[in-house]
Parts: sequence; C-alpha cells; structure tokens
Amino acid sequence: MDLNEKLGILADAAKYDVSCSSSGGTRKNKNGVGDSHACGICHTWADDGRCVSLLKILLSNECIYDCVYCINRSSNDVPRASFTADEVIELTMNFYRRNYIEGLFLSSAVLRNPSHTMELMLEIVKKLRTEHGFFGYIHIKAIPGADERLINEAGMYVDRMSVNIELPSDKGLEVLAPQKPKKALLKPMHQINNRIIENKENKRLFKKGDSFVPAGQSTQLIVGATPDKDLSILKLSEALYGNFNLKRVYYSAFVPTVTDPRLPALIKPPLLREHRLYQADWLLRFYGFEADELLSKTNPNFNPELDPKADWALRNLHLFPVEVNSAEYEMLLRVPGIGVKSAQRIITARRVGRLTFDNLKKMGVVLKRAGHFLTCQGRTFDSYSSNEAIVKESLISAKLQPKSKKPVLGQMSLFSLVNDSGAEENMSEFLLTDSPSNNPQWLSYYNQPQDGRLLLSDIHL
Amino acid sequence: MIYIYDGTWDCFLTAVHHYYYDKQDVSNIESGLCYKPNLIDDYRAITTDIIKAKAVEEAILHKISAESLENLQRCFFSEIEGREMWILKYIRLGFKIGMRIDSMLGDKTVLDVLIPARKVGMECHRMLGLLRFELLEGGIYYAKIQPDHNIISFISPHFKNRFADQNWIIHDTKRKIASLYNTKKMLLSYMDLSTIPELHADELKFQALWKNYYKHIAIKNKINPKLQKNFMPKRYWKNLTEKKPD
Repeated sequence: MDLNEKLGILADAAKYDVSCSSSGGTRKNKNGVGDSHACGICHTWADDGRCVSLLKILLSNECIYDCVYCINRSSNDVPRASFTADEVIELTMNFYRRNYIEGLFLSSAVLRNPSHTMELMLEIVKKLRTEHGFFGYIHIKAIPGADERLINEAGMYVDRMSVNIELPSDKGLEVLAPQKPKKALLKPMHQINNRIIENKENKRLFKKGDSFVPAGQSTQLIVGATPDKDLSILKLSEALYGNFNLKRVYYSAFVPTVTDPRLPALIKPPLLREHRLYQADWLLRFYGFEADELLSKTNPNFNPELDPKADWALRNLHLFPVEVNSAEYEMLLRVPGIGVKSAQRIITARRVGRLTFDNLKKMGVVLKRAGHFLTCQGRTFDSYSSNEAIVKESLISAKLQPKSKKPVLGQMSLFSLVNDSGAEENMSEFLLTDSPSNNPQWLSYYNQPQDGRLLLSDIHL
Repeated sequence: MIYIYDGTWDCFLTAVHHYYYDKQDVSNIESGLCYKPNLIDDYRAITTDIIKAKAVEEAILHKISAESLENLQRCFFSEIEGREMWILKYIRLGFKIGMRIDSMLGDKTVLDVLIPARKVGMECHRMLGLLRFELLEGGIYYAKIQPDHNIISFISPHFKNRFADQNWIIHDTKRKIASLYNTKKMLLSYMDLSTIPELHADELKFQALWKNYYKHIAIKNKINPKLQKNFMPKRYWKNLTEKKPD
C-alpha cells in the first residue's frame, strides 16, 4: 500500500477526534526546526469548518477492541492500515517545514495490546525529538492499560497527552465499550496529572530538567450516543477540570458511522447540543460559572433557543441591571453581550473616565443583548425592559437578524465570544436527537438519577 | 498645507517632526505614491531624515508608552487610507496626557488608531498559519503572500525562530517586497521576481500528500462552507497548497 493511500485511511480513522489545539506550549527551538506558539496557531480549516492545526493521524486502525460507537471497531468493515515510524516522521517533518502544520497529533487503535501500541508511539516521538531536532508541538494519546513506564517516558517528549474518557457515564461505557472499563480510562489520567505535578515540583526545586507534558492534558467524550443529560456531562467536565487539572474537555457530537441496535438512530449529528456544551464549557473555564448555576435536576438540558449565559441571566433578572462604571469584573462577565475581551476593556477604560453606551458599543459590547442588563451612569439603554417576556423575545430575535457577521455554529475559537455566537440553529435537529431512544438496554438507565454522580465518585481515586 | 512623504515609516515620522518644529498648519499628510496634486492646496515634499525620525520615535516611547508606539506602527502598516492624520491626532493627544491614552479604549481618537492596529494584529496571526512554503531547487523554501496589510516585517521574526535551519524567502508579491533568510541573517528588501527557480523534485509529492490529507480530514456529515469561510476568507485561498486545483 502506498503512503498516500495509508494517509487517507489513517486520517479518516482519526478525524472523529475533536481536539485540534496546539496551545499551551512553550518549547523553544534549540538548533533544530520548530517551536511552540503560546496561544496555538490554526493552519487551515477543513470543509467542515474545523480548524487544522496538527497533523492528526492514527498510527494504526487495526484495533483489537470492538467499541460500538467507533468507526475503527474490530467488527466494522473498513480498510485497515498501519504506518511505520519512519513514515510518520517523514510526513511530520515535511509538512512542518512547509508550514502546513503546527505539529503532530498521534493517536492509535489498540494494535495487539496497549503496551505494544504505546511502545510504537513512544519510538516515534523519541526519534522526532532526539534524531530529527524537531521542536514543534506534539500531542499523543496515552493508551489506557499500557505500561505506566511507557506513558511516563513518552510524557518527557511530548507537549500534551490525552486519554479519551469516551462517554459521559459508566453505564454508557458498559453498554457501548465493554472492553474499556472506566477505571482503566481514569487511571492514566490520574497518573499523568500526578506526574505533571511531581515534575513541576522537581523543576522548582532543582531548577533544571525537562518538562513532563508541559502543555497539560485534555480529554474528549462523545455526545448523543447515550441518553445522558447535559447536566451530567457538564458536571463531569467540572469535576475533570477541578480534580485532574485538565486543560480542555472536548465534546464530539455523535456521528453515526455504524448502525447498531444499541446506538440511537440519529439522522444528523446533534451539533446544536455540542455547541451548547462548548458554550457552557467556556462559561466554566473563563466566566466563573458553576455547572449547577446553568442547569439543574428539574432543568437538566440546555435551552435550544438561548445560549446558556442568556438563559441564566433570564432566570436571574433580579440581579440586573448592573452599573457598568462600578460593577465587579466577575459580574460584568455574566452580562449577555459582554465577553472576556470587552469586560477587560471596560475595566481598563473606566479607570480613566466614565463610560457611556456609545463608548461600550465602540469597545465591542453587543448592546442589543447587553442593553437589557446594564446601566451607564445610572441611565438605562433605549430598548431596556425589566419584563422577562420582552427581554426573552428580544434576546431570541437578536439572533435571527440577517446573516451579518455573526459567528456561525461550530467549534469555538478564542476569537468567538461565547455569548455572541449561535446563528444558524436548527431546532428540529435538536429535538430529534434529544428524544429518548426506545432501546430496552437504556430503559433502566433512565430511571437512575441524572446528576453526574455515577462517574464523579470514581474520579476521587 | 499638505505634507507629501515617500510612504515609509521613517519619512512619515520626519513629517511629524516638521509638523512640530516648523509650526505649519498641516491639513493632511499623504503618501507620494497616491497623491494627486491640485491647484488649491499648498504642499511640501518631505525627505526622510533618520535623526528626526528616531527623535519622534523616542519621544513617543518616553512621553507616551511602548504599547502606543507598537499600536501606531501597526496602524501605519495597515495602509488604510487616512491613517496618517489619525496617527498625528493620536500623537498630539498622547503627548498631552501620556500613557493614560492606552486605557482610553472607548475614545474616538484612540480607536481610530486601535482598530486598524487590531486588524493588522489579526492578519499577522492568521498569516502565521496560512503561509505556505514550497521547496525549490537548491533547497530554498519559498512562500508567496498577498496580505491586506503590510505585515511582512511583523511576521518574519516568527519564521526566523521556527525555521532557523532552513533557507527561506517570504515574498509579498502585492507590494514587491520580500524577507530573505539564509540560516544566519534575515533581511527585508524590494523584490520583483519574475522567474522563480523550478520546484524541487520532491515538492509535488508532498503537496499531493497534504491535499489528500486535507480532503480526508473533513467529516462529510458536518460540511459547513460558511463556517470555513468565516475563519479563512476566500481571498487567502489562492496561495494555499490545499486549495490549489489538482
């Protein structure tokens, strides 16, 4: 099989992994080629609008596992291929030197056994760093079940490591990925986190030595393949950020690549739901929100009509309006229509003068939304109303404006503010995918509490 | 009075120096490249005086701030029409109130400079990703760009650090300037290459591999051209290897 054909197969096999980020690296070029850019660089955008930053490939898609949701499951009839170490290196070096990519994202199906797979991956990253003078970004997957020493050694050569948590609940794993018990997934995450902390401490004490996974670890899970509610998913993310110091949790709308009676019969991937989860994830990480503020047991799923922040503000109208010239930064962040950038600008600008609505507009605040929640020097905005129905109506219609420069639904970037996104929403799609599956395997599951406790208890190992 | 300068940053700063020391009533500062003389206005041609230019740069640095100097430079290289007077007004305000100007993010005079400066910053970041090198005979990596703004001097240091062991040329064919690097030194110069050396024998092989990868990495059920163009406007596609027809 020629290299081109292999690349096609192993790119196809890797593309459902959502992580693309090349951020958080600080590696410098030491007499070789490559370095890291702190906030990451996107090199192109594929036809589905996702950013391509790293060469994202599988080392092999010849898997011994048979996870129901996965395109590479052993019982699925797809073409199989495996790269040699030199092929991966040749592609990485030549793509990097032409500025196609920011580095390599290497993952793999489980070839023969976890340790064997991890060993092959280790060989590649070690060669890239030591023989080819490559200082670009490297993200690899830790293969659950692989020898701890292999994962620890690989961590010394890469910038980021991740373990996929795959599904939001252990019941989901039990039904759809019987060969991956949750403990096996959480163990390497725990181990990587401990090594990162230990390595930082050693570096602080001895002021030298290489970094272990300097850009931190991330994970991803599939949304819509199991009946888990948004609340459970968000609580899980919150716990992962809190307990494992994860840099990112990625959400992947389930794309039906295989049909199976255990999987929901989706017509389209639940993209709106994925989008809402990213919005809420941003709120957790940058806006000081907690999962319990955004969703509750009585209200366990996101509102398809409104983004999570607007939805929260509408339920908490009694806290508004706030005065722009005196409100705390934390409160400004909670105003729909104000993002991190504009909140920071407000804090800076009000040190040297009092702000008016005109100033706010020039600073990038979306007044159509923020106008309902703010006062400027005691005055309210023209369209201000304290009536919930009117505010709601206006927040929804602010989105249905003609297609101006509104960001389009999809994976978020640093430049798209969480509260301003969300055009192009297709309600029928959301409702369709949210309806419970009629599968008997899931029925008992519906009767269990949907508050994320199932997996959370396992995180505190 | 209209000042006519040669389009360079140093000459523009020289004009600013004259504005302050010759106490003339300046209604506009225009680049000689696009100036069309008329019979009504008085005009004065400014020639670059590097000492005067440096003096103005020092004054901005010390009387205002390093942040302001950077924003003014970025605004200048945005090449957006009318920027010269926006910059002059900003400098006048900055000399009066000092570094407080950096916090006045809702002020019109400040935003007239900040908005073009942000556009330049945005395009710089974009270009770090979208620039594509092709390997030529003789081992030179060559990239063609046609950015909206004159960003070559801002982006070149990034490539110098990253591709320190490669010979490379980044060529802005719109402005006929290029930065050249030979693994030791980098220089910026005028360049109007009509004949570019042949591609290296391996080049098309890797272009084909990259195109193949690009085609495969998109998820067919999620095709979203609008989102794609949002992030990567079509005007940048002509130099992208992955967007070239087969």
